[in-house]
Amino acid sequence: MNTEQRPDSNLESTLRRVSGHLSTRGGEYLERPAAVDVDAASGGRAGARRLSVVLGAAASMALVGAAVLALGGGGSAGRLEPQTSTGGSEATSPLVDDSTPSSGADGTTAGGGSDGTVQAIGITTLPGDSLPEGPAPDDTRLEPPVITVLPPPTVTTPGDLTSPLISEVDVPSVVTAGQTFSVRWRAADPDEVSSTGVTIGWASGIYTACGVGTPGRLESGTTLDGTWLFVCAMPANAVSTEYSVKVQAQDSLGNWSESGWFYFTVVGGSSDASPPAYSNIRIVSGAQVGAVLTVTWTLVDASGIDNSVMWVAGPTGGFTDPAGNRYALYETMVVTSDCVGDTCTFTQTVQLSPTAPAGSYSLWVSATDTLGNKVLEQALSFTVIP
Amino acid sequence: MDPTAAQQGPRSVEELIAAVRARLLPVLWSKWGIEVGGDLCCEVEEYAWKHGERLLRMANPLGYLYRVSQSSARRYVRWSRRTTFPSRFPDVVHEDPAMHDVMQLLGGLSPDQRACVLLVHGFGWSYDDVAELLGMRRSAVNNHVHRGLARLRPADAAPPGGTGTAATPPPHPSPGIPSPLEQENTR
Repeated sequence: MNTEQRPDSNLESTLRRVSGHLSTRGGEYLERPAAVDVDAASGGRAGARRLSVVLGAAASMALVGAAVLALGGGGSAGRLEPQTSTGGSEATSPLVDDSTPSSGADGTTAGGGSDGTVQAIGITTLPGDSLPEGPAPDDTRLEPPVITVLPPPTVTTPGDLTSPLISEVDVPSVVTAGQTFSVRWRAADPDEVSSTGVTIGWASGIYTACGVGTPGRLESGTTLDGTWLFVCAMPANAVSTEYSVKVQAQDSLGNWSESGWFYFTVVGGSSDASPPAYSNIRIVSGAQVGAVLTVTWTLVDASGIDNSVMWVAGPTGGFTDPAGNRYALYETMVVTSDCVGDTCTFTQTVQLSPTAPAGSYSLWVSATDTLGNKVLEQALSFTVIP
Repeated sequence: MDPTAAQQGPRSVEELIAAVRARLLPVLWSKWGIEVGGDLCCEVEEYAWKHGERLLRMANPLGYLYRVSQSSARRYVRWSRRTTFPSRFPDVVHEDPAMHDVMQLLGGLSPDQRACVLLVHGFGWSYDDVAELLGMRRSAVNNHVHRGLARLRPADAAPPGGTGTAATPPPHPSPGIPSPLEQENTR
């Protein structure tokens, strides 16, 4: 016999308010206007809904784009580079800046238009990188890259167009693994700061142990001008290396700004800062249109392999054809691994799209070790025959 | 929630979509937060449109769609292992500090605990309704509610300024439809 648990009246009242808040704000989120019905051409009834999906995904994954920033060079390409950008001339959705590259990096492939243009989410280039055009692989295991349609900017009022002013960012220079650290900053805006938070980056992209775009808490002052606090417990096995911190803020009118990058060094953590090393990539069979492609490869990492996937790029250099169709049917993908010590042999089967053209293809390896060190780069070129 | 509707089940795709909004959406909000929950709902609706006829023949189509949503949820949470609840940026801290604090604490619960607590004590569902849709035993729902409420007590609160993520391990996706990778990627 189960006994139903009841919270105290205050907590229950608050939980009711939370559910009301979720319903209200969740309903608003679902009903956001969309600019382009991407599925209209194909007659999809879910066109508008699908658009709202990708709009949401755009907001959710805008930072993911920055996460892949450093991966083009095999994880050793470096860190998220410092840059200050203020894209607040128009009200935009959180974390998505229509007027500037989403990551603020110097060579992003994400090109969001103000009128609902197509944007590739999930990858950003560094100088010298040779990333394929089109949508890039995120790190989901079964979801191939997506093309996202961004909404047009929603101009709420002709009034204030000033972005929040972020200043006095206080980041510790050294953080000990396993201990808590704080970031403080001052954010001011005449229209009140509605949200402000912190993103932490490292050589493998966004450092997610502290959250992504994690909001701060108002420590003193007001939302007009106040000091905000962010606290994170650095994991004990955090890699001892340099990390970067960026502060973002948005005012009540949607004007958006972000700070430059600040840096701190983690000490006393894991010494393994290298992503998995791959080798022995071999196409066993199936390099034919519509066939099941079988690939094997070997990964070595002293900290252990967490996951790995091979992405298929086609003759266009991207992961989808110009019509948006994937070159490989990832819903058919099966990946197995066999590990001995710190070495894992992966085997992946995935069906190549029957509608894909024959030609020159390439495989992009994505691999992450148990500490989060990540590699994503073009690993092998091959020819698909008709 | 309308128990009659639950017993009869949707008879058309339109009714199924309405049921997704009415019954499944609160679950997704509770588990994954406003943005991810909303996105997942859209994906589920799209799936329902595509597979409506097959779903309508099922005894518990909403339960199936819930499983579909959990499979989709993996890609939202696995990449970063982050807490997506309640939202990327809470904006209620000054409107309702108590609610803000509770939401942060809820963010530190496991998705299943959070869903059970919110559905039962926030949205007012019965334990049986929650168990049916989430595909759990009633006793499991009771356990989730009990443990969730225990962690919402002030003594278990997150540290000042914490978002819940600092003091709690990152959430893991609930068991859903396992991906081929997870089925096969055993080492």
